[in-house]
Amino acid sequence: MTRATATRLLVQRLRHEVVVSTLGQATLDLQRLGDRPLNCYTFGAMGQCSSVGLGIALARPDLRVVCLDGDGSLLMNLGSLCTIATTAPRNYALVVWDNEVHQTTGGQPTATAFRSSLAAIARGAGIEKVLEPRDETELGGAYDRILSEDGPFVVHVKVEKGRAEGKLDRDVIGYKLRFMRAVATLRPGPAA
Amino acid sequence: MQNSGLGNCVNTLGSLNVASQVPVVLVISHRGDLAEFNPAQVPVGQAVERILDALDIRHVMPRSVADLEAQADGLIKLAYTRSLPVAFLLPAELTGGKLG
Repeated sequence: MTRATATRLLVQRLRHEVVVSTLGQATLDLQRLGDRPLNCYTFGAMGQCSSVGLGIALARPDLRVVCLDGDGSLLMNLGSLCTIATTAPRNYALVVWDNEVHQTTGGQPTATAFRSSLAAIARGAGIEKVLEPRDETELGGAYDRILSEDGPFVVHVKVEKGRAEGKLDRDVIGYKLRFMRAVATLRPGPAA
Repeated sequence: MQNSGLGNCVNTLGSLNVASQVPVVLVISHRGDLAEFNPAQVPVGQAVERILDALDIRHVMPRSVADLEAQADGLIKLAYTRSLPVAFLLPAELTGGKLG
């Protein structure tokens, strides 16, 4: 499964959820396949996607927040999994695209190419709902759960290596202001 | 946080808070300066003001509670006016420091 396919399967299910994407490939795929005002692109903040999303989820318990992170990114902020488990927001899901390489910097292998399992690390951190969909059908089912059930969830998805298509639009301030306006005006009720 | 915590946050402050103009109020206890006993605290402690300056993060170092009270509201207001982080750097003479 490619990251683009996995992104598309999520985008087609979205309604009023906040989606936070890690810098680089995940943001490029999300911007190209499903740009919308409720997307929060972290153009910088290397490794911090899961934490940025956690802050939004804790500040706005009435919204559902989905983070799109990568293996390289999450590996440099593993403490975030413990903070997610400790604060345990019901409206939070962390999706990890694991392609076992640092794609943006040239494809150097990450620890998940060897012995480390991010799903096992998430469970060890104390997160109970850790899903490991193996194909598109299972991934669709996982998305349906994180968009309807109480979390926190971690969804660990092995994806193919490969750079995203297209070119990132880096209007950093413009996208931030658009996101802030969209979030400020959205009051859909409990984790709609 | 202590200034060691600031050291760990440098990239995020630069590439998230400054780049995206997200204000945040940092309260940093200043280790590694007067009366410091731990050599490992000193290098970042001595660099902390220059780190904040390099990131264009406005900071104050109140020497007394009265000094802090006189500056607190104004610095926090500036953070939101400017949409950038600000920092209170709290020296040992204000906090009493840490005794070995």
